[in-house]
Amino acid sequence: MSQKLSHHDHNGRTHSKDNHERKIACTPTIGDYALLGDILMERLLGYETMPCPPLTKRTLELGAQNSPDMICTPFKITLGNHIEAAQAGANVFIMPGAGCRLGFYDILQKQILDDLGYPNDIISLFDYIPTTKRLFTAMQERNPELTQQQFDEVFALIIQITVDMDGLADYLRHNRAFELEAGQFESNYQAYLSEVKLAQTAGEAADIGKKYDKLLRAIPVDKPQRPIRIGILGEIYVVVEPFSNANLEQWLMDRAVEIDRPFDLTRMAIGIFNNEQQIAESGGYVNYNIGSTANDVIAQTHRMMKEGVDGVIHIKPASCSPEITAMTILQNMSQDFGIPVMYLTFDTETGEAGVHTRLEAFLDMITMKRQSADRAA
Amino acid sequence: MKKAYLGVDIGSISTKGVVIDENNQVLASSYLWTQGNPIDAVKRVVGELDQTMNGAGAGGLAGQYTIVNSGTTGSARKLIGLVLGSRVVKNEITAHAVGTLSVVPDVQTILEIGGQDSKIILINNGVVMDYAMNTICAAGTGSFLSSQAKRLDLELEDFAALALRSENPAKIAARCTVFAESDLVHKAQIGHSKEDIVAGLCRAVVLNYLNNVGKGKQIKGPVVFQGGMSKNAAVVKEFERELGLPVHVDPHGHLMGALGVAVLCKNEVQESAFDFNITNLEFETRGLECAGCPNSCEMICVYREGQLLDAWGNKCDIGASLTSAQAA
Amino acid sequence: MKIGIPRALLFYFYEDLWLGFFDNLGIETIVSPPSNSAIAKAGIAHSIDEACYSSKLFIGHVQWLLDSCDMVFVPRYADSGIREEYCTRIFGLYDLVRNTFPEAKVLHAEVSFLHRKKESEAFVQIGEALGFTREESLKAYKDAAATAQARKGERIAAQEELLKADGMKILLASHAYNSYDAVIGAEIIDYFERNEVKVIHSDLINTREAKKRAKDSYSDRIYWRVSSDMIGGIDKYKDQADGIVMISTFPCGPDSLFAELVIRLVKDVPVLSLVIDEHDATAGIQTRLESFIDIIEAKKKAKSLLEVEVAA
Repeated sequence: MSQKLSHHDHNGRTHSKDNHERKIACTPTIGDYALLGDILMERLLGYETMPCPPLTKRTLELGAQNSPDMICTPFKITLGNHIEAAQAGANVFIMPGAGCRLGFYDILQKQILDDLGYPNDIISLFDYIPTTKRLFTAMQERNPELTQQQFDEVFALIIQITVDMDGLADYLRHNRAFELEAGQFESNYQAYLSEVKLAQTAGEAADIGKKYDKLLRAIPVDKPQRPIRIGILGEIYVVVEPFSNANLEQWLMDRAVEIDRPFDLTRMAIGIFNNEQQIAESGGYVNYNIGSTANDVIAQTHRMMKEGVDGVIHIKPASCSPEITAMTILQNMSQDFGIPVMYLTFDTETGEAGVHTRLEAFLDMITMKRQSADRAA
Repeated sequence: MKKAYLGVDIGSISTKGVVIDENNQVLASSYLWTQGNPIDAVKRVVGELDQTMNGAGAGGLAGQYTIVNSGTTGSARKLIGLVLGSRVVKNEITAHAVGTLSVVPDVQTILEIGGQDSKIILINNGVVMDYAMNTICAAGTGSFLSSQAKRLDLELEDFAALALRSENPAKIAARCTVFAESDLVHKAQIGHSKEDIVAGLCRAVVLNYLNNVGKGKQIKGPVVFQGGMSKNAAVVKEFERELGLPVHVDPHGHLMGALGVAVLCKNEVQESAFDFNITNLEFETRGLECAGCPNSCEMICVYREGQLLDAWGNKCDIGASLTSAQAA
Repeated sequence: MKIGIPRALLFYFYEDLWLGFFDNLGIETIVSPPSNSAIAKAGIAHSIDEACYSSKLFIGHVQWLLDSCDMVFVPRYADSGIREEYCTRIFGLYDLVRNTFPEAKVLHAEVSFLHRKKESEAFVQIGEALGFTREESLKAYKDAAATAQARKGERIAAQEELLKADGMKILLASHAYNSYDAVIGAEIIDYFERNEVKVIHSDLINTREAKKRAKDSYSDRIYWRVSSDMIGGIDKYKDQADGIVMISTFPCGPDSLFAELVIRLVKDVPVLSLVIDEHDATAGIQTRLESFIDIIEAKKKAKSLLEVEVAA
């Protein structure tokens, strides 16, 4: 006899035996975005929130031990997050849902947490076609008193913060390598995050965003006319979570490289409805949806190569299917434009030293290429 | 005194050193096993180079040159760079490309299969255009072949000769060492001859390389093949067959990394003189596991004559404070 | 005009429809031969190393066809209904083929119920591209679709008959393109047949029925067709099987989730999960199949002893 997945009803809601048990919610570490999960949980459900225990080697080990071998790496890392958070007392876990294998993560993760004996409610924010209605339903099931108006207000706040933090971070990536006084960008950005966490309304958050935008733009930089510029693209989790990608952006910025990394949550959210446009912007390399963010990888690489980027780094977790399709196409683009693309695959075993050696060689290569082109000119 | 430059390449298996003059001519070279102790290996290599440059048998060289810059590459480049006080510490990909270019200026493709990893470097007009390294695992590299040789009770030296005798190489699954081993046993049991199996392994190394590292790369001649595997004539032959191009193996191919880093030293504007006396100093490394968080960063502290020179391996500042406490 | 059809992936879902359609129009087709080592080698050589073995084989079949036909048929199937999406390897095939073999002539059209690209319209488009009228194309499609449906019904009915027979039965749980491929499932089926074990196929189930079973018994959110087919098939046949052998090709995205879910949830039938990649060592697989049969026999024996005791 097979048993149906424990306690899920049609909307993925878990029925708890005791509605009065203390709810402690934890959002896994996905770059700086966990604060968005905290806001949802605190303000829409009245749950307590707990910062996710920091990602460490132990997180990876726990995740890998309890996951199927062939699953993609973000599953393993976020499962490790859940387990460590459960050990620290959390019992509600937030997963984004929507699309690709990610859309099923929570189903299997819940089964694994059940089998391990951790009481849990995994909230999948979206269904496979992400809509705010689905998010509202997921929230209302857990807080029947939640009104549409309350939801709308908090949702507007979340959108505001997302757009602002992504905008600030993008500016940082283009300029941090050239700051005159080390650490200024990062400390201002961190200050923004801790301040915006307390914003009550979208308006307040927007004001904080504007304030920090001014502060960031006032930081003195010494940016050369044509700095070495590297594009970073690929699967969204490894792109936005530095721990999962050997912190490669930091490594490059420390070596005076301007980073063009268009992928963030804002772009993801818009991109889901923008597939047609991505295909149109792919320079004829693709005709159809090839899955997840892969079309945007092609479209953005095409833009960067037209703009004359020095090199592109494509990153993905092991066995990420859509990105594997994208790689075949990127190889053709790299050849046609004569711009090198380096491919890095990350799993829970990837050593930082190996990645840094490859980055160093890549950077050497494009720097020498630039020098010889300049000499020829 | 004429100027000379020292390059050292410290790999997991062997340590190589060269001294070149201002025209990239090799004045002295040395090649020794690392034997798990890079500091000791480098001292021995430097000792040999010193003998050639300044020793009794140095002849016309003696006392003519002074080494004005030194550089390191290879997996222990950082540690040895510190020990030698090197100005240039370069990754092995760049070093190999620069070294090879100084010997074969029109090279377009460098194939390399070493002990643990393999790489491909594509060059156009003397500039590295693209490169790739193995992404999967060590299967198909030197350590893989030597473990298979052991399994078949063969000396690695006899491997190539045996393989070249085969007319019908067996098809061996070589993506993964585990698979390869069970397949090897299976092939032997169903009656394939030893030379066919050995030739099959050599072919698997080549196919594996081309399907992984060389995937999507346009391989153009002149092709230079380096790394430990390039000493295996059967593998060279398989490469030539698969690529339909002649594949050059330089007898000094193993020195290209060291040579490259020496050339890079020459291009450095600033000089920082090197003293052969280094062999008389006492260096020590101590491993330290940081207990600051569950990352358990494995840190390496390097001491010269009992003094902490540097430490690395920590991901955050907790580790840094730990080592400074150690140093105090 | 000769149309080449790769004997891989969706061919195993749509063989009767595709071949019937071209046949009804009087168009000559050539299907690549069953997978063999040369096809596998070509597929591996032209694919990204990390791609799944089944898709590498597909590329190998396309390569085989390039010199034997005028156009290769690679329709783009995105889904076969709501919550019946194909995986990204499958729906990315057209663009993959075009980028892998830029010189190849590819005959294609899009099928996506979600995006209102009906299968019938896709075949009208294909028929028209080959110079037939809308009516001719539509009729060819409808006749082929009816035949295909009838044939699937016959195969399901034949399996029902097989279930009534005595003897050990193994449920082969996999995607049709793995179960029936000459270098993936065929050897396993062969092994069982040599040992007088009957093989039940998970894919012999109506897609709608499979979807409902997967939803009712496992999860309401399975949106991949290949997964709901497999899970629905397991749900339908597992109680009549003595053991389940699951075959995945490395690395399969959908299977990484749902094979695991099945292993965790199916407790009363022994499950053997085999992951096949391009370097599978046949010797290893045979050993595992052999010991799996031993386990089942030992279990049966223990169970019949228990039943004797209970009866006594």
